[in-house]
Amino acid sequence: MSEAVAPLGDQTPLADGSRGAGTRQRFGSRQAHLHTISIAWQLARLDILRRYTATMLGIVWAVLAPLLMSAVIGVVFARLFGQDLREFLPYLFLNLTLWAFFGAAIDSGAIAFLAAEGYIKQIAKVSFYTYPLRMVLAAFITLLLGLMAVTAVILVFGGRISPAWLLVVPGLAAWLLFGFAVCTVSAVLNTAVRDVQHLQAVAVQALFYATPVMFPPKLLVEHHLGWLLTWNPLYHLMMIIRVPMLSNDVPELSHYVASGLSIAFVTLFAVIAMRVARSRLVFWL
Amino acid sequence: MLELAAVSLTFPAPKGSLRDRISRTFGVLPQDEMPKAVTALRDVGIKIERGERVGIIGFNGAGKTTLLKVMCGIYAPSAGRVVVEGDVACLFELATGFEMEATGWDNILTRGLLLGLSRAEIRDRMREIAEFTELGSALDRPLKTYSAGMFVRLGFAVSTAISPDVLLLDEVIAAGDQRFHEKARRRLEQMVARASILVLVSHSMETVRQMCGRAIWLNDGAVHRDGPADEVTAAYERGA
Repeated sequence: MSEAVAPLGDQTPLADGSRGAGTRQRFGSRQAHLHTISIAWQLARLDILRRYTATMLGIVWAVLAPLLMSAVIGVVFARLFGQDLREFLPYLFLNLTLWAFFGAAIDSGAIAFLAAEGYIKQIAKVSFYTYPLRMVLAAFITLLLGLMAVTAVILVFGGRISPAWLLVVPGLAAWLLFGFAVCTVSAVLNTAVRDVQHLQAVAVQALFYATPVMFPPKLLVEHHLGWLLTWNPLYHLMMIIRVPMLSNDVPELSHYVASGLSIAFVTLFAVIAMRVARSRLVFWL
Repeated sequence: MLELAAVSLTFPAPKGSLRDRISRTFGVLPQDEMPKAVTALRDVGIKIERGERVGIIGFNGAGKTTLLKVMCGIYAPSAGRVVVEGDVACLFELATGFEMEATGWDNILTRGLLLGLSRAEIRDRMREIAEFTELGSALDRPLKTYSAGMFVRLGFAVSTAISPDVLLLDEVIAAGDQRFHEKARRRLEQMVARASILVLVSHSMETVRQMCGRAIWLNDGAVHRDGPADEVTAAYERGA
């Protein structure tokens, strides 16, 4: 099978030296990447708008939902695990907010290309990365709003903001990258084989229970399940946000290394998957 | 310049469910009910130079739209090569990309971005696009309040705001009322005039003769005739 050469990349100037105006798309260039982000952002914006437009509370729900969830689970599980509520509630709320982002990234990833079927079949030159990016950006906005509420809860329960919180910025960048990569992989796999979505839902649920979200990490260690911590990328990613925000401390290097490796691994997977999908995607829809 | 060299395109057969495959293996479902691959284009060779205006004609299902999609890169060919110099834009049905809850302005932005315009370019052309639609204050309202004719105006206005080198048109729009139809035709002609290559798929021989100097008759995925528009359209009307 031969490749289709251009228009996906050919920008040879016309005979008179001019280039066409208005539809410049240098595939793979910085300009093209910025344009991809531009489209993804616009679509994400409209997605968020659509989700909350008919409701009374609007985007407040993005924060209210995990907050209510934490309150209910928190009260019950604090007692179950013998945890102090003042420490446990902020811990739980932060974890659930972070997990919600991961869940959103992977779930919306599964339908990223399916939801964009009209665009993919009718419009050329839009990078396919646009569609998972759209999903991740929407989830990331929700995450940022959630973290603002988490901050409020932390302060209410006697925590404080310190210089250590600056580490949250690179931490969130890591989460965004991880989310984007996971979203992309999910998108490709699920468009190629529709069954993946169902398998994925189960896997994510299982991972939820294998990650210290609703219980403290040391509980796993006490029960000789410490290996689950070592090999769980979500645990390390959560630690790089949790330690600065809850303990006002610097996370151990091992968490950064593990997070970095996880991100690199999933990103590699995503890039390979997109390479394979590029010429086939439209036929899978 | 736009060139297709020995281009073929076969759509892969849809995957059957596990149940179907087992049924077929055990002979419960006859073999020839298996979903088959469809060859939409066979060994198509076309070369279009700068300045040419080419019409693509043929019966329904001949592969005309598929050909356009291969030209603009939506489909990668199964065999052969496609080479295009310059910016390409393809305009198919205008129904894609409308966001109902968003305003007319937001939809102009979305559509413009998808067509490859930068935010700055859209900003520059925003007034001109808005004026052409004649939608006025309706642009501030969400699209779900729009009538069908208003959709068409909006989509058409944005789609014709670009200036590609190679313009691929697929039976574009029969607009709403008579007055808009005239305006639309003029705007489309302006857009065509800006392009250095036009490829137009149409069922109207009259349109092809008016707008194109050359016509290609596609039959069952292969090039049946390729020559001056008058000749090829006449042959098509004769049924030869």
